Amino acid sequence: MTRSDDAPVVEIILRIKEEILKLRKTAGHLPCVDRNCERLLAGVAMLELDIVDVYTLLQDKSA
Amino acid sequence: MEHDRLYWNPLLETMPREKLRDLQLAKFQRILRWAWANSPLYRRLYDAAGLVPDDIRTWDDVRRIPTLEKEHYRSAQAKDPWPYGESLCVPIEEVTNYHQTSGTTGQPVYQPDTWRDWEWWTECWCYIMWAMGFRNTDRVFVPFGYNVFVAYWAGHYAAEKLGCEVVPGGVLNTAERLLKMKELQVTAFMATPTYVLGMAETAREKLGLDPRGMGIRRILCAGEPGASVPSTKRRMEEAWGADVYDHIGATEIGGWAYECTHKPGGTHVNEGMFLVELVDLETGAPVEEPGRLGRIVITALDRLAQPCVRFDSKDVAMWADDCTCGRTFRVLKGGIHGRTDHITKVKGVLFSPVSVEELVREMPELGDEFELIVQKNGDIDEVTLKVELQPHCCAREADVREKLAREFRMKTNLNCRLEFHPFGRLPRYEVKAKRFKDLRQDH
Ligand SMILES: [Zn+2]
Repeated sequence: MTRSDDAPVVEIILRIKEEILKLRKTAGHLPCVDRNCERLLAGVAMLELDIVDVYTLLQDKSA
Repeated sequence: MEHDRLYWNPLLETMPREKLRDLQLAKFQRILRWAWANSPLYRRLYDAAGLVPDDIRTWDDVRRIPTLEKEHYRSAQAKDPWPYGESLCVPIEEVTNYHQTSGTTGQPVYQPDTWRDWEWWTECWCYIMWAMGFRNTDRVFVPFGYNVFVAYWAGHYAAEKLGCEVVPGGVLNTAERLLKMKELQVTAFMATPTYVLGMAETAREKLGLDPRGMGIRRILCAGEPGASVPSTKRRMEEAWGADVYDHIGATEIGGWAYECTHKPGGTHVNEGMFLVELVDLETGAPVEEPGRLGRIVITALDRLAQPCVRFDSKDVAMWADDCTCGRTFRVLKGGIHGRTDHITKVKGVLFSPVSVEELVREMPELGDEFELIVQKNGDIDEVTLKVELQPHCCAREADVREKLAREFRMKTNLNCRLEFHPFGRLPRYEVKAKRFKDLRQDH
């Protein structure tokens, strides 16, 4: 990843998270959706630690 | 592009130090708020010190926060809800994984993880294994049992995540494991240094098999400091004809340090996920410069179900100079140098059992196993070192004895009583070896 494509990557990760949460809200009464969303969110959480945090936390810092 | 492939996450692993420190401080503040808000254990600890998370703005503030010890977990876990009690920060139904410490220093600590925490364990191990060169071309043998100890569980999951082919090697004895590894032509495995050496010995002595011919390319070590002790590492690498890498982790903390393929003589701290502070053994002041021993105080910056904030691990280490691999994560020279409860005074001299491991493994006339016992003889401390002579060196016992006594004195400033045992008679260990025993009552 280079500097110039960081921002879109962060955006995509956050959008995926939002979509999974939306899916869970919409169809989470189905156990298969609920538990698979839980697993997907855990994977997305790692992308947040690996990438998103670097931008959001350091941005807060410079703000 | 190729540069990026060297690192699991170049964004963190090659981040300029100043930025990395800022990120660590921000993450520390976040986990502190989480622990304080969700765990009665942490709330009580910080209330007693008159601290609230908003007080913590600088690194000096961080150092004012009380450290946590195993005993804190134990007493918090005596409360409800069973078995995690007041150290738990999430509803208990969110816990998906149970592990526990071995309990060698007392009542085991119970360790809850949510699925997200477990994914975090796995992710931390991906940093570890990627840096050691594990790739999807590896067939990895995992010789450990299905049990409550965290051991290589995360290694199994991380190997899968990296795309390796994982071969579960539990419920087999050592010879059966070796035969399965040979049959499947595995390229890598994970084990304690003790077991790595024990497997090589079994291959040679019981199966007539040269481990060097088995095609193993890399071995991941954990559980003991051996892979960072140069002479032990050399023994393992020579026995298997493979690269041996060290990793450091613990149940309550996570997998927090790893050796890279540049082998800098120590382990990188994963500073994107953990904060490691070294503090002076006596004064508690921060140790920042390379080459001076300090006690490790560690924070897992992202672990949620049972946080680990400023945990006094009782391990002792020292910083090294930077590695040549391009990672900006600091390196602990020689990995873990021992535990504060093992580094002890004998006849008034500071004595570290790990230095004796290095000494024994440096002498080719000696077998891999040894035992070190400190006890009182009347009022005087006495150190006994038990070793095994290699079968082909029996005729030279007197020379070896003299050399060992001399080297021991030079390394430790102490004399010791030497016991030579026939090859194969000292205990063999599969998991954590217990080679050091301090039998002094008042100690
Ligand atoms: Zn390195």
